[in-house]
Formats: sequence, C-alpha cells, structure tokens
Amino acid sequence: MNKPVKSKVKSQKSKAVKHKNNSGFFFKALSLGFLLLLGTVFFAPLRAQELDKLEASSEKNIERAEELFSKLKKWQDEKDWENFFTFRDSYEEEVERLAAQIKEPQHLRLKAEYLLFRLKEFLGKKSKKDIFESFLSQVSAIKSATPKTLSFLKTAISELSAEPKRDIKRKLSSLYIKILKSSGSEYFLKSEAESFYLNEDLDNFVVLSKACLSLIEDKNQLKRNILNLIGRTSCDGFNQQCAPYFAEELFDKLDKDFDFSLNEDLLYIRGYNLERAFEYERALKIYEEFLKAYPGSLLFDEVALRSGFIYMYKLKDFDKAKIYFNKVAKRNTHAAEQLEIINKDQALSEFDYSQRAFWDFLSQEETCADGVLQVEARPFKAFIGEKIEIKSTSFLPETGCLAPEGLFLWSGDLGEVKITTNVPAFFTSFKKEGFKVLSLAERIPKGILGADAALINIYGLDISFKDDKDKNITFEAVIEPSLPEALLGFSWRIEKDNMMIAEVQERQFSRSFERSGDYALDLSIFFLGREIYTQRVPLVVK
Amino acid sequence: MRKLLFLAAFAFCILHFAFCNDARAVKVEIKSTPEKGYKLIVDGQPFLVKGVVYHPVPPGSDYNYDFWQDLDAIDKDAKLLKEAGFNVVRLYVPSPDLEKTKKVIRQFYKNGIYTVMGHWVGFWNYPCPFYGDEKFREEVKKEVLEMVEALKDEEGLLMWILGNENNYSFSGKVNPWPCPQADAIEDPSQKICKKAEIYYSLMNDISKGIKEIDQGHPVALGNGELITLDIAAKYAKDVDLLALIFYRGKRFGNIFNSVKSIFDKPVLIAEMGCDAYDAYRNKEDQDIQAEFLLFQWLDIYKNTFERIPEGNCLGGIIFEWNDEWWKYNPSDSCRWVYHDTLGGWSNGSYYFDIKVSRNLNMNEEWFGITAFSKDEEGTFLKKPRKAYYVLRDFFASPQKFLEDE
Repeated sequence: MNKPVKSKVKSQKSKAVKHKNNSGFFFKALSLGFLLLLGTVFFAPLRAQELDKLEASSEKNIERAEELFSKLKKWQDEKDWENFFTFRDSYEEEVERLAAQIKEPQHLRLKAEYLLFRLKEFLGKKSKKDIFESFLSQVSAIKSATPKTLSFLKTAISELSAEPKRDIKRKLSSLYIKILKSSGSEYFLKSEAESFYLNEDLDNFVVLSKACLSLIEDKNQLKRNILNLIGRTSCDGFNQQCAPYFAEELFDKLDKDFDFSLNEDLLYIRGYNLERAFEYERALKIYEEFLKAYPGSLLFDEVALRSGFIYMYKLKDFDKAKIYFNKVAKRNTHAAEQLEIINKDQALSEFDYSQRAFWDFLSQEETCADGVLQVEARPFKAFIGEKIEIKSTSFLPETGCLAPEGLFLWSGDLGEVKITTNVPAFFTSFKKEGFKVLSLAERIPKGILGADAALINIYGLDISFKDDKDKNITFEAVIEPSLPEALLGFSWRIEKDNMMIAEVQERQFSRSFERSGDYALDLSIFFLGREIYTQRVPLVVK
Repeated sequence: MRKLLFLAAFAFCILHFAFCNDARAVKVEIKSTPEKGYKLIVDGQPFLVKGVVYHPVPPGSDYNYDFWQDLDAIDKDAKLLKEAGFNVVRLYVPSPDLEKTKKVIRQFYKNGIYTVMGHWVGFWNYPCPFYGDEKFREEVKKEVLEMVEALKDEEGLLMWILGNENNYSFSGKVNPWPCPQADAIEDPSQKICKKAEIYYSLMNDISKGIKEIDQGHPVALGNGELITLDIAAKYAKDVDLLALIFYRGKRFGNIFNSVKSIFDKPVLIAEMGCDAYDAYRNKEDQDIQAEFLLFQWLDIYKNTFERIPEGNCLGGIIFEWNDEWWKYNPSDSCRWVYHDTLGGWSNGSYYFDIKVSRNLNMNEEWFGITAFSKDEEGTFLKKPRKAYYVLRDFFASPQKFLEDE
C-alpha cells in the first residue's frame, strides 16, 4: 500500500503548489511593482506634460481673451463702429467661452473687466441683472488689494456712476471698501481715503478713516491722527462739506480713551460742530463747559451769544436765553437787542409784518400745522463782502413733501440783498463784521407753517502796515470778531512785477524793502488747515 | 393668322410698356385692427415707419443749400439708410422746383426708401403767417394742392404732413402772428384757443382738399407735443393721422395713452432724438445718443399694432440724418463752418448735461446720427455715429431687445 507516498507526493505537490503559488504571488507583486515604477517613470512626465499643456493652453486662452477684448476696447475708443459692431458678437462669444475657463485668481480681474465692458452696452433689465451679478461675484472673488485691482474698481465705480439703479453703485462701493479694509495697510487706506475726500465723498472717507485708525497701535500717533481728522471733518462754518457725527465720535474717543482735555479752541469747535449737526442740547452742554472753563477767552462773548440764540430760537426757552444774553449784553449789541425782544421792551407794533409773523410763531401766539422749516446759510461763516447763499427748506407734516408755495417772510439782518417776500432762497453779502441773525416765517393759507433763524458770523480782516524810516515795514493781520487763534494760519506772498519776492507764514512779520515801487501783497487765511479767505492788497513803498 | 396674332401680341407689349413704365403711386392706407390699434398698409403689406429727417446741409451752408441737385450724394445716403434698416425719409418741404423733388423721391425709392413729404403751410412766410386772413388761407391751400397734384403719383411717396411745430406760435412767443379775431380776446388762454381753432380749421380744410385729388396717401397733422391737440380734435377731424414731435428724453412715457384719450388717431412720431454732445462735460457723447434712441424705439415698437398696449403708433422719424452746422446761429454765416458746441435751448429730460450753465443743454447742431468729418483732401464726409449701428442691430432683430426688456 503506497498511501504515504501518495500523501508525500500530495504534500510534495501541495508544497510545490504552495511553492508555486508563493512564487507566483511574488512574481505578480514584482510585476506590479515594476509596472508602477514604469508608470512613474513614463507616465508621470506625460502627466506633467499634460498639465504643462493644460497650463500652456490656459495661458493661451487668457492671452487670446485679452487680445480679443483689447481689440474691442480699441475700436470702441477710436469710435470705429464699423469694426466694433461687425465683430462684437463673435468676439464676445469667444471671450466668454475663454473667460469661463479662467480659474486663476490673478486673472479674475480680466473677467471682471470684461463684464464691466459688457455692462456698458445697452442691455435690457434681465441681461444687465445677470451680467451685473456675475460681475459682482467676480469682484468678490478678488481677494488681493493690489494697486491694479483697486484702480480697476475705482474706474468701475466711476463708470457705473451714471447707472440709474443706485444699489449697483452702492454694492460695488461696499465691495471696494471691503477689499480696501482687508488690505491691512495703513498707507493704502490713508491714500484711498484721501482720494475719496478730494472727490467730496465723505461717507467713504469716514469708513476708511475708521479702518485706518483701527490699525494704528502707537497711542501718540493715534492721537495725532484723531486730532487731524477732527480738523478735517468738523463743521467749522466755513466748510461746505463736513461729517459732524464722525467728528463728535472722535472727540468722544479723545475724551474716553486718552483722557484728553480740550483747550478752548477745540472746545469751541466741538460745541460749534454739534450746533451745526442740530444737536442743540449737547452743543449747549459743551458751550456751558467752555464758559465755565475759559471766562477770559476772546471767544467767550460769541459762545454766550450762541447759547442764548439756541435757547431762544431753537428751543424757545426764553428764560434760559436771557441768562446767556445777560452775560454779554453790556458789550454786545446783538445780545442787548435780543433781550429787548424777549422783554418786549421793543414794542411789537414797531415790528414789520415779517418780524411780527416770526415773533408770533416763536412766542406761540400763532401756530399752524407742525410743518418743518429750516434756514441754512452757505457758508455760516464768511468775510465782509463774500457771497452767502441763504436757503430755506420746508415740509408739510401730513405729506412729508416740500412746501415751496408759501409766503416767505424774511426779517432781521439780511445783508445787501433786496428781496420780495416770495423767495425761498437768495444770495447776499454783508458790509460790516459781527453776528447776524436772520429769520424766516413761512405763511400758508392755513397760517404759519413754521419759522427758523440762522446766526451768521461775518468777519472783518484788517491788514495793517507800519513802516519805520529805514523802509522796514511790519505787517499784521487782525480778524474781528475773533476766531480760535491756534487753529488759524496765515500765508503772505509779496510780489513785484509778477515775480514772487517773499512768502511768510505768520500773522505778523517785518521786512525791509530795498527798492521803492509798487508791490502786490496776497494774504491767505487758513482755518483748520483749509484756506478760507484770500485778499490782495496793493502796496506802495516810497 | 399667325402673323396677325404675333402682331397683336407685339402691339400689346408695346402698349403695356408704354403705359406701365410711368410712375404708379403705391396705395398707402391706414387700417384699424381688431384690438383697436392702427396699422399702416403700403401696397397691401403692413409697414412700420423707420425714418429720419433728411436735410443734408453740409458745413458752410444753411437751409438755403440746394441739396436736391446732388443725386449721387442722395444715393449714397439712401444706401446707408437701407443698410441700417431705415425705410423712410422725411422732407419738411419740397424744392421750389417740383421736378427736382420728383427725382429725389425716385432716387430714394430706387433704394427702397419711401418719402414723407411735408409743407410749412405758410408758417415761415414773411413777415408772418396770417392764418386768420382768408386770402392767405386760400393761397396756402392752393400751394399745398399744387404740390400734391405734382407729386401724388410718385411711387416712393408715403404720406403728407401739414405743418410741423406751428402750434407753438399760438401763445405768441414763437413766430407770433396777428389775428383780429384772437387779438380781440383779453383772456390769454382763450386767445390761444382761438388761434388754435383758426389754424386747425385751415389744416382740416387743406386735408379735405388733398383727399379730393389724392385718395392714395394719408394726410397727417404736424403738431408739437400734445399742446392744443384737444382743439385739433374738434377742428381737424378729417386728418388721417397725427405727426407729433416729442423730445421727452430717453422714453416716451404715457404719450401714446394720452394721444388716444385726447385725439384718437394713429400717431407717427415725426421728430424725436437726442443730441450727441454733452454740454456739461463739453465733449461729444455718442454713447448717450445711441442709448436714448434705442430706448425711444423700444417704446415705439411696444405701442405698434403687433404689440399694443395702445397699438396706435405707426412708427417714428429720428431728427435727424446728419448734423447741421448752421443751426446755432443761422444769421452768422461765418459760424457755419464751425461745429458749435453751445446749447441753444434747455430740456431737463436730457438729464446727462442739464447741469450746464443756464441749463442750455440742447445742442441743435449735434442731432445727426451721422457726423461730418474731413478726409485727407479736406472734403466733408458723413460718418455714421454709434446710434446708427445700434439701431441697425435693433431693426435687424427687435424681438431680442424687446424680450430682454
């Protein structure tokens, strides 16, 4: 019996099979490994080549898209309408096809530029909406605030400024500001903020300035920046554009974060700024603080007068008004006049029709529906002879609509204008310095719609020359009534025969003149860093 | 027999060509639609007026320029017009030489362009139009009917327009004319109404006279805006349509609806447009002209019989084909060689440059959809502005633009 042999054979066989199997597996693994190696050696470069090719074709796509787009722009700029309209549809189709393949962030601007180009076509509402949404999403995907990107966005905002739908421009402006803020660069933010300031876009100037301040770590530098911004955004009466609420935020910040004590000039500016922002209660608080802290100030009389004016004309609190007018009545005729009116020392029968209408409304003898009337001067502070625009705006309470049809009864210090009663606005100027109170009551068939008054500061500039025997002349500029001295700047320029001889930045200076003859003297006055007045004076040196 | 038949056929052909080569006027009529709109039918086919005011005065000349003799230039213009899809030119008045007028109408028609022929109806007569005077009225009527008699058989003639903005004279502020019946009235608004009555009754009379001799062409009443149209509705009932002048800016608003309620007749916008000069920024602006014109045409299309809502618009005529350099100061011939950029009148609907000093933003010399530019030899050539191409695209497929609206 060969059983054991069989099993041996079997086991030998199975061993062999096992062995065979093991070897097979090994060889398979080796083959696989070899194949993988082969793949890596051969196919990786192929893959890389493919990627290179793709990249190259992507670059080519971008180049081609730029080329076609540039052609369209060139024809448009040169007004070559024949070519533009002949090729426009096919080129646009091609550019869109190529642009759809662009994924690289650095080329997103191309897509956005192209979409902006399309937005300026005469598209219907649907197409415009679709394209604009694409455009916004491309712009949103642009993360880097490079100079080129920012310049493109600014151009886009300007080019879309004629869009009747304001939300388009607003959305784009918000995106632009967001990208700017994300730049994290104080320098960038400052320069862009400056650009908005020069374009009289104070809203965006404020947004960027806030972002800029948040980046400043050094406390001294921050304080300097805040003070600088206060100067630029406070309503000082001379400037046409200001951001009073932002300015007040900055004053508040100085107060709370720096425990900064305002000197008399800044306190005056703070109070005046609040007054211009119609924040009368807060303004009166500041003025009160001023009067207590600086009783000897050259601005004391004005601040007292302003306080009295606000109580009397804006808050109709005659008792409080009297307190403030009394502080200065002995030296200020305006305050004295106001007291006479309050005390009814001046007989009402002496008032003309317009004054009477105003006083009746003020003293609530006659009222009407609660219409809103506001008088505004542009500017509120000016020099003798300068043109001032006096405007009124009135609203009806039931509709909220403008009410320009009333009888406009102007009274008080109206300056050189000769007006009738039916003008809601006019231009005037004043021949004498001082405080001018002008008032308006608007009468409609039902009664007095409303009344308001404006307090205007008119400044006189006195330029004096004092010469000694040695042709040495001392020049001095004096402004009456006073302006905060520390906030004023003077710039003198002396010319002879159209050539500049000297330039001096002082309120008072002396100079000797070797040659006799005619000179021209130009004086520029600055307030909070802004030029508010210039005057040319002929000078004869004997 | 065969010879006889051949001779008869030959004679027939000769006769046929002899008679049928003469101008045969195309029948033009207005039909109202079931939806209560109106459509213009020309030779049995619906026809939308896509026209331009045609007055090709070159730089250096004024309205006295005799453009009628330059048929080559007219042919070039006609081809350009056709290429863009225009099908009508409006002539304010025929040439004093009616034979020249015929040649011009034919030249346009050769290129598929119809002519809308106007007449000032004495408005610019010296010293002024005496519309209240019987003799004057008869003379004007006679002049118009002579024109109609001479031109009615022209194939290329589409319709007649009586007057233009003559109704602006009723207030006495523009080209005033005396009239005892009106001057005796104290109330200024009643005075205006009386003058309107006198004028429109004459237009009605002329219109009736035209129809007696020409049943193949509609007669339109030219009118500036909707002013005194209510009076026209009473005294000029026999006109077939209204040829109205509107400068309402980018869109026409509710004018089609207004016309329907005041004087329910079909409307042809006989003048519309936008100047290509931005008086505020002091530069040419072809973009804004193209934009305004496109949207004006969208409004027209939306109010034709095919699209309704009012369905009373028969089309529009753009003021104008080319710039005219004499218009700012017609009395100063030295200025006709300059393209003046000062605005002559004010219109707030053209908002893009209304902020110009004194709001004088309408630059009369810049209304053309073609501009003059000098070639190398110093000859003035017409170069189409952007508006020309934009409208070319629009006329080619208006549906695309309408759907996008």
